[in-house]
Amino acid sequence: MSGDSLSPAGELLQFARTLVDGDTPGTSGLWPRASALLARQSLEVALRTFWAKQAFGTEECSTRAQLLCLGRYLSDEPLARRAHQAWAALSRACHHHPYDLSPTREELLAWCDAVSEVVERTERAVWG
Amino acid sequence: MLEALTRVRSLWAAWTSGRKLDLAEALAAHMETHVLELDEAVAALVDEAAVELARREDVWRPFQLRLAEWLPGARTAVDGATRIPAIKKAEEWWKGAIQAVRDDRFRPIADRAMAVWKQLRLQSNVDLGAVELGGTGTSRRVTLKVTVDGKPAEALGVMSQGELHSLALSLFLPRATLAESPFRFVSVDDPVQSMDPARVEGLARALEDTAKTRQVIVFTHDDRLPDAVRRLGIPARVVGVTRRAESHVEVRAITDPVRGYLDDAFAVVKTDGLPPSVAARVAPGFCRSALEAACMDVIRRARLKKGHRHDDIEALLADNARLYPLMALTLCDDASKTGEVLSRLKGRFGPQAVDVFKACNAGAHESYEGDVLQLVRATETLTGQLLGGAS
Repeated sequence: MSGDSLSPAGELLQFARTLVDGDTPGTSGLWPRASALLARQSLEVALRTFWAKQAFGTEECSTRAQLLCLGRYLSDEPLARRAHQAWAALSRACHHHPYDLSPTREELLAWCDAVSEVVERTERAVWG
Repeated sequence: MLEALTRVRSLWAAWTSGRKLDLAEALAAHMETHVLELDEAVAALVDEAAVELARREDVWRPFQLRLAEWLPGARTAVDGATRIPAIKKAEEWWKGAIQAVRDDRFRPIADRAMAVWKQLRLQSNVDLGAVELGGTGTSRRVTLKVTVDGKPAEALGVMSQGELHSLALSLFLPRATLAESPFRFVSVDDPVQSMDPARVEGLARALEDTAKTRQVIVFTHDDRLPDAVRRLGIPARVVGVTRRAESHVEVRAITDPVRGYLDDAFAVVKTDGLPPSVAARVAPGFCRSALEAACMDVIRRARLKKGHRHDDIEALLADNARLYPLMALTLCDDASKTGEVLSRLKGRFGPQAVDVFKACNAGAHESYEGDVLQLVRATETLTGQLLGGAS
């Protein structure tokens, strides 16, 4: 993967997507949860970077709190809600739950889309 | 009346009046006088009678033909009528015999169904009584005698979705495993839907029974049945199926969740497909899940042993599906005592256990800076200690 122009968050997200639809050797069966771990970290990295520039100190709060503030700072509540949903779903996939199976390809791609929106919007807000 | 008859009678009277004559000459003269006339009249009468006879035969003939046609049937009917009561009796006996044979053949199914239901019902207050075949001809039905707390009721009205599923399985398994069936396997699609955890154990046992004589293939969308199978020590081969784009399907053997996460963590570290920077971000997440799964296993086993209800345990686990509260439940039997987790870990398993625990918890969110392979190995050790200490 080239990724020279990508931010750390963008790079993580790209790898999360590659795991879903690429054919990465040695990831048979484990790619759904691995992808979820990377997508969630991408979202969290994007948020931390954003707060460090926009409202220093907020990045130390819980991710939940950061997501609750995000809509106001981006003036886009619907996006913040989508991000929150994706984060909650990704978090669920990242913890062991007795009777949950791995997330499906379609679920993962939808969550990646939501994360991608946040990564783009926060980067645009910071760098213009 | 024949027209010629009157004349013949009067001529005959005249002819027979000759008997009174004594003299032969007089008699001969009398006969000569009358014979021709009488002969002529009789001939005319004979002709007339023949014509009349022919006429009457013509009138009668159609009736005679129809009668000849009808008569044999009528005779048979009259003869047959005497045998009807006997035939009716025979028919009744025959129906009874069929029902008896059917009942005989169905009884093992009904008995098995009730036995399976007993395995599956557990705390249900619905009891299954007799299972009977009813109906005739093309409309047949199965009658289920169901009681709720001892009172008769309609099965469909009083049973929950999970109970109905169990009931359907109770009826299906014995039928599917009849000796007459050419199939020596049973495949069941998602039998655990809407079943509570306790019922899933009953299901696992019922399937174990079935598996003594049949191959049993079960498709399921969640981990409860494999989990029950593992807990009860039922021999089974569990494979996980993941679907990629265009229904490209991956199948892999599934062990218990702890082993599964550890295997995934090792795979992530060791594969050449992933750069080390990605492995350092993914493997700690798998390690954390392995610890969570190990904790849940310990909590579940300890509480089941103490007699807690399955539902309550699962609810507790669902409410505390994070590493800290799970470890607090495991080590202190109290989810709120997260503050004691580190010291308890250190006390029971040594300082390295604390390092592993912290690294797993943080590493799920960020890149792990240390030796990832070392972390996975240490996690493996800690899960072993947790699980070993519980048994």
